Amino acid sequence: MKKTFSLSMAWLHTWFGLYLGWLLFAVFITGTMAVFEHGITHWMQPEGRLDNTVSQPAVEHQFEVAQAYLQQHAPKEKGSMWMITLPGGAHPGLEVRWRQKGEAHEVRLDPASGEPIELRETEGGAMLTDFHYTLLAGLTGTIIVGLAAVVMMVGLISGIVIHKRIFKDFFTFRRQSSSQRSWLDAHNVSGVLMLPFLLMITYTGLVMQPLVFLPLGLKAVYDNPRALRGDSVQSFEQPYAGTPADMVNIGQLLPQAKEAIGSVEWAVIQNGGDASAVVEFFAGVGGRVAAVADHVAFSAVTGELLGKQTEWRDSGYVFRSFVGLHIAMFGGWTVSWLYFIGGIVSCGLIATGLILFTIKRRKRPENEFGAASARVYRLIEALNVAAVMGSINAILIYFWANRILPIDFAERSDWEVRAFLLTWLVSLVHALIRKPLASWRDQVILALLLCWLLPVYSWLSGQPNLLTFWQKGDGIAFGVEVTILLFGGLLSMAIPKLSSTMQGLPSKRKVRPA
Amino acid sequence: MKASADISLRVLAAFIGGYLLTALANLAWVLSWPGHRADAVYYGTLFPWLIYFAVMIWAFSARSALKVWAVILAVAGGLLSWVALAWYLK
Repeated sequence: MKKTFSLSMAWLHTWFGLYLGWLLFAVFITGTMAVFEHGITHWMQPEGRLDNTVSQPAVEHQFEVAQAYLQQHAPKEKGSMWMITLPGGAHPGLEVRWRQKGEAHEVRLDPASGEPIELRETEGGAMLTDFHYTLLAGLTGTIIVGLAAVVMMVGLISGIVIHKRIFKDFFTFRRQSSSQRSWLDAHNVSGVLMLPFLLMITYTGLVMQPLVFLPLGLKAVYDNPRALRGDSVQSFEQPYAGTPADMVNIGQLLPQAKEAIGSVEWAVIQNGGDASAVVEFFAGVGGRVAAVADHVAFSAVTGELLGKQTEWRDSGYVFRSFVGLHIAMFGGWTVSWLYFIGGIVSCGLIATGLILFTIKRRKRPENEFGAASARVYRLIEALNVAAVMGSINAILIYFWANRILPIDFAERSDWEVRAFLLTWLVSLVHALIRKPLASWRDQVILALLLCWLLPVYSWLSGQPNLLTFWQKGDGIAFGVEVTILLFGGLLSMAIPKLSSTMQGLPSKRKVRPA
Repeated sequence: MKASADISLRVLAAFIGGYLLTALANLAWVLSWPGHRADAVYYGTLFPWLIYFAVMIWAFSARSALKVWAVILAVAGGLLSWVALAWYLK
């Protein structure tokens, strides 16, 4: 297309990077949050906070109270599924779940008494995960994110082609040089540093949803796509009997279950209360890269062992390894933090790329849009602000809405999401009204205030805050809030640079004596 | 050819042509897999994406946009006959 392959790739990198960079930033920042989805949900429901100063009851007891609650409240009907999730890892509470007439029910229980704990209504971290791959627009959104992922891969490949000097530039960061040079170096260093992570996270994201992205092959051999799951996950379900029966205390099956699969993270009771009831214990997916959960099943009426699955077909292992690499449930906190930091640096890569586009043209306009060029560049500046600072502020406003909206506010979780989405609009309007650099600075300052004042607001409004989390030994909620504070610190580093650029000063350049 | 028409053809080739070949390659793979159908599907989702990336890069580096389309359609035709044959033999 251009004279050389390299020039074509530079063109592709510039324009695909620009048009999809806006979307990719939002996808990457929410994906980064998704690493700590459960921790964020926990922080957003502070009523369910842990009190680690008192010892937790035995797991057997927790199963017993959860089972008792489900027997009272969940439907006893054909095909019913009751789920019990034990506290553990990033998932701090005892939770029971079931579906009734297509509606999902979820209740947090006090692990000692088995009484339900009233939690504020919120979608929590799950909303951010959902946005990450659906843009809250269902199938259409997923397809758009999928196309963005393909473009991301092409952006990475074309980036490598135009860059070439990967190893040399790895050690090149001319922070003191001209502003364009240092943005370029920051873009290059983060890209080179994160290249393996970026290739992995983008590729696995594409691979993990065959039913949406590559349905032709799947549907050619499976009339019902669910049968694919049946071919890899063994089922121990029993046909519904229709005769009520008393169930055993499933907590007493726990030693046997642990012997079979090692550890237990959650359990599912099928056809609860019926003679065909089956209880299945799952080991969780944290033990290895491949996201498969070993499981063992017992009759919930007789307590008889029905079977277990600790072996998986090779192709299942391979496929679920791709999934596991993306969702990062393995490796505990260490891996979660590496993914989180990797995600933040990747966001930096995308943001610096977007900024570079405008900085280059601020200096030397290229008239790429003919007579409208000046106006289009202006719009691009505004969209950059809205994509980068708008996304960051949207997430922070979502957190704030969680603390500001009264607990009994009607549809409060919907309003949290509306506040989240509306922030982008406000951010864009602001960026269109203000001069580009001023809008960057305003919105960075806003974000940093949102970060730093959040604990103060929680304290003033008498809600659980850093202090109470610390006193109760609730490391997860404490960690979420401290991370928000630290993120504010990261943002504050951008302000001196923005101010000096606004005053037209060259960024700190070393003047060499002639 | 006008520049805008050239770019449009390339963008369509990259996104639609690229997906067409990716999906057909996936379908051909799954139908030709000799073993269990679950293995065919799981392994079959791993690699077709490479075709998508390659088509997209080529669509914007080739000399002529028309040539890109000609090759895409030719390869799609080849894959389709393969799919038809595999379907018939199944």
